[in-house]
Amino acid sequence: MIELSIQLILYIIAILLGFCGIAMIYLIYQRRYEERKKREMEEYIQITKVLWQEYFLEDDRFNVTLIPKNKHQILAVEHIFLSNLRNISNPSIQQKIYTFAQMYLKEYYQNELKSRNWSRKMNAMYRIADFHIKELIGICEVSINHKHSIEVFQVLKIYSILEKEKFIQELLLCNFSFSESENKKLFSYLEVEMLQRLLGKMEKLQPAAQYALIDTIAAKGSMDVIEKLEELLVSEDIEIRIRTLRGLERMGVIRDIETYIPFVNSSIWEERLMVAKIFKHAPLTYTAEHLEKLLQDSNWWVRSQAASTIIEDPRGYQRLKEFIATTNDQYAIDMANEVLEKRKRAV
Amino acid sequence: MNTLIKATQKVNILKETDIIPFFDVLKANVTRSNMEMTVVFLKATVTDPNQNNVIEELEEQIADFLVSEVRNTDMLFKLDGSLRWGILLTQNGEEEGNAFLNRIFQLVKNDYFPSEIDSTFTLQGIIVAVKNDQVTFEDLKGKQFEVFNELSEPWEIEIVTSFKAQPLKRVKVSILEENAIFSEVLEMTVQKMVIDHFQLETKVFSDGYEFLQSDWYLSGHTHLVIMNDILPRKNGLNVLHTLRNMANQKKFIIYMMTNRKSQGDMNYAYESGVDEYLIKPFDLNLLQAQLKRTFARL
Repeated sequence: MIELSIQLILYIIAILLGFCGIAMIYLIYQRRYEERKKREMEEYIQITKVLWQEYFLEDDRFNVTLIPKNKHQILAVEHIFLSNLRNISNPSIQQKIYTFAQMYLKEYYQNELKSRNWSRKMNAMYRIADFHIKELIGICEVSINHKHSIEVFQVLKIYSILEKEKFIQELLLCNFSFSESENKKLFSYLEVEMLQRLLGKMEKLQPAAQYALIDTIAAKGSMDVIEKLEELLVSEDIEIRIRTLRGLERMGVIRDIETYIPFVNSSIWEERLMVAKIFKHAPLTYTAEHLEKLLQDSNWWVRSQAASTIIEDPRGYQRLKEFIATTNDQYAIDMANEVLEKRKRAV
Repeated sequence: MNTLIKATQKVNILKETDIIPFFDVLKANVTRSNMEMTVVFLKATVTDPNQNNVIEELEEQIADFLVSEVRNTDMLFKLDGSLRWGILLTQNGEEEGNAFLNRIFQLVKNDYFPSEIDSTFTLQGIIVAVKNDQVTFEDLKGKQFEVFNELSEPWEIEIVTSFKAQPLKRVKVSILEENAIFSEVLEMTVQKMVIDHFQLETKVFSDGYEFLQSDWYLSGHTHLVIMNDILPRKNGLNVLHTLRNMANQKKFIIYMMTNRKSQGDMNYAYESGVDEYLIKPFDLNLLQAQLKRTFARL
């Protein structure tokens, strides 16, 4: 049995109560601070919302009341700016936001970048990117910890928005491996021409960046890139070939069907699947024979896609019926019948 | 004239009294269902009105000719008095009525007339677009009488605009958007629009639950819903499915705002019943242009 004196127990209780008391005071103080912050933000927004609308929509309607006088008002301005930038596409409004930020918010973010509080520094960097405050790029570069991937990523994002040439240089020198979605986010700010240049230096990029680059450039949909993408179809990297096929399919243009026919006999089922999808963009007269071969593929997804591609053609229905009558492949017959049945029900 | 008449079964055309119930029903649909309706009046004029037996034969021939030229959706009727007819174009506006009359006149002018018919008969026409449910058939009849008395030239067509006044139609506009600042911007954008013949009433909701809990969407008014796909409670797609499963879902015009650009999401949204898909950030001028186009179609 452990013997404890009552006095000791009372001391422990008092200390614990003391901690609870301090915690409660801290929470109450924080709560009151948050409420005050929210109230001041709402007051600022209520007073200035009409003035902001006039400033955004009409020329020469700047009002000094708009200039924020304390941190809470700056947060309110951030909220207004972000609401506009994320929801409305208007070059004039965007330019006014960027100009205002450079004139009246730059000093605040400069101080925030020097803060020892990591979240304050990162928030400042996010806003520098959102509001295009170019003058603070130099300070960002010296403020970050180059061993911290999140900070390096944010600086790269700022470059990709505001200094695109520098972005390409820094990306190629970067030691960090960002994920595919992170790379896509970085590439999404670049124009097609810059993406094409990166494509020319693809071998210097990490694999995730290579895949993200192919997806991004295909999503931009420019016809200028088709030739460059087709060159990637002979890559030794399977994933690059698959991504390229997918990208070309999304663009919906086939320049020469001979480019894709070799993939009908590929040992990689994903490539056979993608080529079955690509054949949607060519007349059935040129692709029927290959699609019927894919309809007899060992992989269910490939068979399904081949059948879907055939039925989308105006002559596809008849072609499938003829195929069923002539083939012995039961799996292919089942797939063809399933697709024909779906079409009948849809009509 | 015989050569103008296509092989058609002889039909007894409606009289004035027969057409009135049809006119009243179609008139009610003009405002309720945004249909168009135009009444075309035709009058034939001969040089010697005392040749009664010629007039009777001419009336029969013109009637047969008109029967062969009107469509299944049009209604031909005989007006009291000789050589006057009316055609109710049930789904057409003034321009179509004008095109119809011009075509009839050309057919008549270009053909060969049998010698026993007075070759100097001419036609005159009146086009009356009906765009409200206040006008009666008697009003139209009185107007055609008045206008035909004033027309002096052969082959003249007069367009009457007295019955085109459209009542102001109330349209509800609901904005479902979580971001208070942006929802105010949207509300202001809609309220600033001036659209002829429509009175817009806007209301803002912060999420789908608040919208569906209100009874704002239950009335029969045409209802434009501009909503975000992601909302705190009951998101846009849930609201879309609820509205499209209602019995009078055709009154809803749904604009879906989203951050998502994928083809799959867009296809799904359109297949689920979205009328317009807006990818954020979007241009407010574009939104206004799309809204104006939507109202023009109404």
